[in-house]
Amino acid sequence: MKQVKTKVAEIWAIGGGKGGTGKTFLFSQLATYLALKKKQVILIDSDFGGANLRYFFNIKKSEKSIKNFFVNKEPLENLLSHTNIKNLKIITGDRNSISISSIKYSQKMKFLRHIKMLNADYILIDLGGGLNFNTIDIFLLADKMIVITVPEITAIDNLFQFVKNAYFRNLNFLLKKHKLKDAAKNIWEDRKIYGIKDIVDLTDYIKGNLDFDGSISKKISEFSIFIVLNKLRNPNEINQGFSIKSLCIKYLGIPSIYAGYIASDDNFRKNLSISDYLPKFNISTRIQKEITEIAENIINKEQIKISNIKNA
Amino acid sequence: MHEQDYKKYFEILELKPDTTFSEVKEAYSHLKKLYSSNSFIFAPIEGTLGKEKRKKILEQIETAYAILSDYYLSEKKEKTQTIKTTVSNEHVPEFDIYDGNALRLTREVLGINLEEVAFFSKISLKYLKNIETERFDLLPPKAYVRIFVRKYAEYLSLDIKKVTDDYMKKYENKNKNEF
Ligand SMILES: Nc1ncnc2c1ncn2[C@@H]1O[C@H](COP(=O)(O)OP(=O)(O)OP(=O)(O)O)[C@@H](O)[C@H]1O
Ligand SMILES: [Mg+2]
Repeated sequence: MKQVKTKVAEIWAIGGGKGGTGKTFLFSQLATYLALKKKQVILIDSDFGGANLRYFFNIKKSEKSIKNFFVNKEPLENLLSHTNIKNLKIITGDRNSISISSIKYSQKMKFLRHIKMLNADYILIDLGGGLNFNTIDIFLLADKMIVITVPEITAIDNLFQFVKNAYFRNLNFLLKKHKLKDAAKNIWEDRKIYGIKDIVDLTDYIKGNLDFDGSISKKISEFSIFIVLNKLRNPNEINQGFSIKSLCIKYLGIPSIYAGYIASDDNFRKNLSISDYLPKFNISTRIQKEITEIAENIINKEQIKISNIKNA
Repeated sequence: MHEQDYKKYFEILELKPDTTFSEVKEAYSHLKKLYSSNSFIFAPIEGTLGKEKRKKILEQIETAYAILSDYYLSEKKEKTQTIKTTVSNEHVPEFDIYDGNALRLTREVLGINLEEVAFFSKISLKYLKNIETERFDLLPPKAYVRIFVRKYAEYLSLDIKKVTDDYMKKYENKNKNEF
């Protein structure tokens, strides 16, 4: 049965490089929040290597998964599993039959097209860790790109790498569309000649010299990210989100919004069954307040209040 | 300078132009601290750029802050005051008697925080708080209180005479009762 598409969904994707920073956790929470706001939400597990979203919602392995799309060529809309939250459906992943690096270009393009065709208000795509280009391409599909990290140097390093790679991949796509394939790479190689020192200079150069009708500049500045900081153990760590955001702006030239933070919550470590925890979502506990703030900031493209800064 | 020209300075401090001065100050001191520090988060991103880039960023931050401070102290101040006059005619509740509470409520309706009042009126935050909560015992002598209330009322674009008269009447009564 073919569904008639009536809505244009807003697509959110989450990445960030390092594994275990809370991507799946945050997106299951945000999806729940949006669904409880009476939005139609579809959450897709595109973490091919480490698919685990179904555990967060207690969905049996016997249900259809993304494997049915890639292997059996079934349409995505046939793969929706119901959850115990009314407006939230999920497409579960599969960690055995597909690997992210083996997805063919045509398969990926088909996947991206089909995601856009799903009927919902919001489509949230959970991605795996790592810098694989297929992961990045799915990330770039989103209307709102969210990255998450924890206050540790290795995770922050991964975040910068991830954002940088995504930015360059996007830039190359744009230039290629304007018949300027490899332009960024060539200019970067000759950067000394052009007096280019970093990505900000490179972008300025492209905007100033290769962009005849302003369309490239416009598209370049549409690349923006939302940053979330997870597993804070100390309120002073809130500042690191502001710092990471600042570095993304000043060193990468990417419009960045610090959407919020989540404290490390030992309760839910004890409470391993997150499926018990989710349906009780209401804004009474700290974590739920934090999720609400993050969700609303992403919806409204707002940054958390600067008064959160702890200026010691 | 036109509104538009300030945009880039707000951008340097990573703020939207509709920010309050206290937010500008907060953003400035965070950025200044960050780029003068040796925070571990520079390691993965700084690459070969080194200190030079950071020096340039710090200079930009300083310039932006200096220019925006002037902006808030001169133009923006006049602007908020004209806005306030029109607002106060339309939406701000009028009180029969202006006491500490009435001042606070008026201020809140106008969306002004005490830090802002303190900054522009040059009255210490502590005294402003005590004026609002009517902790007369913690305020300086009467003549000063009158001046402070006057300045506060002026900043809120209220009827200066009425506010000071009302407030000082209450101040005197309270002091009378206590002695
Ligand atoms: N704020 C938090 N407080 C405590 N534990 C958390 C928090 N956020 C996430 N966790 C826990 O950290 C672990 C990793 O989270 P999650 O699976 O969401 O990470 P991920 O980024 O999706 O990882 P992967 O890259 O492997 O997909 C989980 O056990 C999760 O329950
Ligand atoms: Mg995950």
